[in-house]
Amino acid sequence: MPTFVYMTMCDGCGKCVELCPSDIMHIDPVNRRAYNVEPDMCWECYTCVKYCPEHAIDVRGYADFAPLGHGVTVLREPEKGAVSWKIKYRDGRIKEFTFPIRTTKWGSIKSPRDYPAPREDLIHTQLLSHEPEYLKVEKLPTLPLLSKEASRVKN
Amino acid sequence: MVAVNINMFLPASYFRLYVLILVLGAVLGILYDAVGRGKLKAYRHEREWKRSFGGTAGETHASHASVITRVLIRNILFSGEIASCREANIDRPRRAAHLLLFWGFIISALSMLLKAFVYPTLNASPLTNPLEISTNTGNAMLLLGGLLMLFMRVNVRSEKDSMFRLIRADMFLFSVILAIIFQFILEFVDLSGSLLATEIVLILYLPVTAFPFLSMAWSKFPHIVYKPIYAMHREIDAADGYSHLPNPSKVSFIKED
Amino acid sequence: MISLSYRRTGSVKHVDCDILIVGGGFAGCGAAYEAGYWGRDLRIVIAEKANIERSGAVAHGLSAINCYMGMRWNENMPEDFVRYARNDLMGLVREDLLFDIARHVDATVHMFEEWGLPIMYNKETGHYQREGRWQIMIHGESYKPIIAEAAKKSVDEVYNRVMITHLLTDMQNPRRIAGAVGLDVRDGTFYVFRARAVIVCAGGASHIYRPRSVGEGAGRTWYPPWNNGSAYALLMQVGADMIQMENRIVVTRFKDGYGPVGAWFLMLKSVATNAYGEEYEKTHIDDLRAYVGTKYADAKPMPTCLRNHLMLEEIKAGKGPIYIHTERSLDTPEKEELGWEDFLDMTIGQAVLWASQNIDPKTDPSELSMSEPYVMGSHAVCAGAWVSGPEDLAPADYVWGYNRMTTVEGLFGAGDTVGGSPHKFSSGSFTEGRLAAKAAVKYLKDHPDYRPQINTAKIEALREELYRPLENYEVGKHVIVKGSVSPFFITPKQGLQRLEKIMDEYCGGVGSYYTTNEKLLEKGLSLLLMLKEDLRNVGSEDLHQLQRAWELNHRVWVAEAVIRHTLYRKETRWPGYYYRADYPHVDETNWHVFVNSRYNPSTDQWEMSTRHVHHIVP
Repeated sequence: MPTFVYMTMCDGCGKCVELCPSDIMHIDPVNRRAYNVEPDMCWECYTCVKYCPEHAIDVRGYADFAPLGHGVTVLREPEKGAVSWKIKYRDGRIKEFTFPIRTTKWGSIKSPRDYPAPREDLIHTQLLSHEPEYLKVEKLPTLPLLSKEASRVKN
Repeated sequence: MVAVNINMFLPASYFRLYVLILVLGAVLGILYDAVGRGKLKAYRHEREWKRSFGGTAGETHASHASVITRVLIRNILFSGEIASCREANIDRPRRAAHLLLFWGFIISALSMLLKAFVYPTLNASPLTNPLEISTNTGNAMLLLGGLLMLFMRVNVRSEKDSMFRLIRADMFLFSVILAIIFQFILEFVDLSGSLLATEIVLILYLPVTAFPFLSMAWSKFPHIVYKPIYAMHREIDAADGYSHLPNPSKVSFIKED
Repeated sequence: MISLSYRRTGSVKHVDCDILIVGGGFAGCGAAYEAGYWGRDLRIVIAEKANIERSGAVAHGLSAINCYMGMRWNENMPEDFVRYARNDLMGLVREDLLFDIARHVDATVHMFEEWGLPIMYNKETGHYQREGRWQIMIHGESYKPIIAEAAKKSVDEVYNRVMITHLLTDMQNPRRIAGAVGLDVRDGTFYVFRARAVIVCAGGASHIYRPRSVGEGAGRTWYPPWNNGSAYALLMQVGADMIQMENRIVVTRFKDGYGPVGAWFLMLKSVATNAYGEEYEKTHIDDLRAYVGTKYADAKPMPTCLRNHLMLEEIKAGKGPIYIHTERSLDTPEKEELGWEDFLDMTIGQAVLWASQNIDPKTDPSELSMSEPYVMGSHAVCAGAWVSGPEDLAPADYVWGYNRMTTVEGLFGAGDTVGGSPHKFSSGSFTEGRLAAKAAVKYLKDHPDYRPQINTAKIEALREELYRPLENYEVGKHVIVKGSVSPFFITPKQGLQRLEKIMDEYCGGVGSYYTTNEKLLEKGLSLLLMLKEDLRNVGSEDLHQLQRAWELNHRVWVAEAVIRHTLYRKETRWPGYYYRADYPHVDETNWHVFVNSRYNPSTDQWEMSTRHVHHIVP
């Protein structure tokens, strides 16, 4: 289902151009509005649809297999930590859903550099940052090493 | 130094005719674009399509008149439409540019109409004349807004095009900036008193200023009319309980600590 | 109107850093976090082809984390995971790498939860809601942006829209990394990164084989269309050893939309039948035992490739369409919501398909189909680089000093990049990034005096090569009146379609029912080598097409490795992924080994060999 941009709604802010993982949302030189330059490289990830401030981008299912008349629209509300979906069937049925997307405030993650520096010797262990606390078990599991004979094989 | 009386080259009646041609050209241009090309028909389809997505809980049953007023004031007169990109360092200059262009155009256009039908002359003097002040203010706003827009053009900002790459969409912006520059040049030569210079500039000024109006059907100019209409319909449809978007979430899932 | 050329091919930007992370997906973000922790005084940068906010395979989001042990609740231990993954890959895995991921991954998931990823809980047990033994359910629409936030805070700079096209080796020592070059796909700037260590966390490969949909639908591959195998191509070109490049994955998913089946099969207990309502897996089980032996045919759970095989046999017998009966599973509103969220969190295209074809999962079954093959390393498949393992438990011939370091010194890999380490998915890839980054920091601390020396003549040559597609088009277009048919250049899309056809027809794509033999492979290789030569004549109209040109370049390299490995392994190890019709059985005696390749950059030759598979978990 590639994306398309409504001419009436796009005001050329460039957000989709900046975010598209496939590099296929670009600015049309005639209208200076966004459009999908390569629909057959569109994964329908809905990034541009979700982030467009004007909700000007929509998806029409891939012409290879999707009959016309359907729609799946989205309202992502990061400030509420929520995403809502509206599904419109070709035959007119509508379904709506809302799901959580985040439980903490945006920007609240602590940088690893702001934690106290690890003890010098820890870099020689197998422990990663915040371990073993974040494993929520006492010790990091390991295995006995293979005997020297078993572990040296002529390659 | 005596300012040139432009009426010597361009009698008031011809000037009025010129302005009438600009207005008529603009109106015919928009009509051709909207009706002749089928854009109005397409828009009706689009509205119907979006309304087929059903209702939302957001309907307010507000009167259409109150919605139109709100949209007119907030989104159009104050360029509130532009303020939704949510990135202040891009939003603010874009909004400022649009405000300058919009209000500059209103002021300049009204001034030109008044100059044509009331004053009636293209003369730039005396500068203390209220119409001169309004013309210069409007033109300065247009020029400032236009230059700011040059930097804010999304193909320069997001596509990282060179500032000097000219695309079809630039036609309107550049033709407006050029016309304003010629306004100021004409004013300058008029006040300088040089008859020859004034005549030469006038000969260039007339087509350069006419260009944005007469090229309506091929530029982005009509969107000045379309965009407000889209905005109004969008808000009216929402007030009536239609939205192609889902209902907003009633709850927040973010834990406040 | 005037249209001036806007390509700034003149600009060069030099970046000096300690650690360069190539790719800002899950593995890259994990590497970023851990590098920021252990190497807080080092200069760490990420080069990401797109925008780290939504780049990589988790662009939509995910509905489950498929690699979580649950050690805290005694749900699984790392040994269990090793046995599971070993079984799924028909015995050929790096058990040391698997154990290493499994023992750390729980901590990664707990960090994600703290960062704000909403994980579903089982109300009765108070544990995470399990989808299956290894998988837990999440509300994962914003999984990538949350993780990207952590990564952005961990490093000195994220270079978005910078595609790395080549790695650089040291002038004094060609077996040691020195940095990378690439291009800014927005303004055309040539980037030269000089780095003391490089962690490649780029993507595996989609679009090596012809996809089932070929119009707009070509975009709906199971794995993202923008993952072009840079993880492998970058490494191979500098002479890193690679394993399992023949191990490609074919996935059984909802037809056309490729919606995930995990939640449906494991949690909602949906069943799959043929067109006549028969549960076909039982029909062919005796044949399967004869084919691969009871060790694998009767393994629980049945290996992914063998489940594919059973379905393929059914389809070949003309008993399709194969259906998944969602309508028998959605008996409560909660289940219905879960079923929809499963798609909306990670494969919205499937929801769009349902809406377009009037399919309501509550009342109608959906079709399943087998995809075209993909080459990657983090799923039920493990193509990738041969890397050093964890020092405390890896066998001696699997360790050469630094965890996840390739056979090029200072060059590390994580995520899809690493071979022999399947079933990582998102959390495991992030974890592997962490492992590689800690090791890279340790490597730098052990080698404080290393200053990479880059050959400026080589850089200049690479720069010319990088931009040549633009020149090919700019000049070549004048020969023809208009269009894209020229005797002098091919567009990246034309090259891609040729590649996909070659692999489909000669190396076991959907068009060949995943079957090949030595003759087909040799013919395919000869055609591929001609395509490889034609890469010199790719013509790119603009910077977007230039990016596509380099994606094609990397894909062709990966395809060559796939063909060479497939030729070398004289066996059908993974029926259901691919078949060697001339060696149709599993051959435990001769082929219970990894196939290893090394492209030698100085001789332009491929060196093929095998490596021993150690089993360290009983």
